[in-house]
Amino acid sequence: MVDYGYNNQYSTSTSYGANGAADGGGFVAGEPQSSPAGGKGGYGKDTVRPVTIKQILDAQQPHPDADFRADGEPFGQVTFIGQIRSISTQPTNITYKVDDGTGIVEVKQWIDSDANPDKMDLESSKPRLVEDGYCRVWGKLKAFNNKRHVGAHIIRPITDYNEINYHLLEATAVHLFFTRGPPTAQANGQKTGDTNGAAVSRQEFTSATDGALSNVSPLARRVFNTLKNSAQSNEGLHVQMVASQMGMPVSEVYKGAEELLSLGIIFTTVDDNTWAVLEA
Amino acid sequence: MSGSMSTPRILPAHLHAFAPGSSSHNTVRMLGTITTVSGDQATLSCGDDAVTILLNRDSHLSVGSLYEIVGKVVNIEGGHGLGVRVLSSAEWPRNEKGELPDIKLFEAVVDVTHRYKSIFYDDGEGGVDGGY
Repeated sequence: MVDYGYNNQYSTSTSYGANGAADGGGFVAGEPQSSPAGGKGGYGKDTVRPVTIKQILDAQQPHPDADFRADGEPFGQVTFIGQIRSISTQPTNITYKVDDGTGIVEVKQWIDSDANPDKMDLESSKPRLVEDGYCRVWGKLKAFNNKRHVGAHIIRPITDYNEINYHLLEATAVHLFFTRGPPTAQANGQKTGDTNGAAVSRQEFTSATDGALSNVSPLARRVFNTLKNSAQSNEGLHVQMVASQMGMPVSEVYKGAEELLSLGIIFTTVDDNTWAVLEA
Repeated sequence: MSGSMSTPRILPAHLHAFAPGSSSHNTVRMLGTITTVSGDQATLSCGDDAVTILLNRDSHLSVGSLYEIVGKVVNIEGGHGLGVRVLSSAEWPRNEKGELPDIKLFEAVVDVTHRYKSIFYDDGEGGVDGGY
């Protein structure tokens, strides 16, 4: 029974196999990061999902090794807020009971014996995690002997209490996104040709959803958007023009264009260095 | 089980839906400013509305500060309507810029928690869908 240490728990972790061993250590930098071009189904579950504790307790797991699902959408990493009801320090971890008004869940933070335990205490002026205080948790949902807990990467005290209400609204917005789809303004996506940041990122977001572009790199997508949205003759744009519009080196533009060429999304016009978007 | 653990966020206008007898579940969560304290009673002001709260021995609430209280909805003796018996209270302090948490934000949260109840509270507990 003693062997039911946390190693065993890791191996029963819900989804990532080899990656599972890397988490639970409270070390975020090494977490697998998905790139937007990561392919189908790959990035959804690695995205940190804001949730209520009730959603964590209600999440379905089709079979023991499967991903948890909420609103039909698989997830692994979660973030939530709550009030700490109890703190219990054990040899290998600190267990917090966290209550956000919708339910209570245990949050375990594993103690890294290699780390210098005094390091945190040196910054004594910083707010501490205390009972009845509010905290923000980032972690991964795990099930062990039919009991759910969250393996925390980070747990920190809340200092601006607006964050609590903000989080509950954010969790609601994400829930509605998955159950009702994106807000209509985003679904239609206006192609205004506006070059300010917000508009560009929205265009990238919407064009990412239209099939052909879903598997290209962010770089290629930016080249595509530049070609699509810049004023040009039917001869398209020269690589130098694209580079100056994007504020990027020519070599980078070539890389992105190469990808788009190979997919037949753009084509060469007067010479090998001038491209136009096929559909236009 | 999670049902008995949850504490719906409400405004004073919703107290009746959680009154003793009207609902099996009457532990609620409210946010407001303490405006008066007298003996074991205090007034919690939430926007334009207010509720009488009955303090326990551990509650040390100071007038003018913002608190989140968790408590049971009860009938106040002498037919003074509904109040909340405090089970726990936590001060919501000013942030680093010296601003108090935004009470309007809390009101928005109360609204969505009842509108999209499934991710917050069980069906059986408190309130009537749409009619709270």
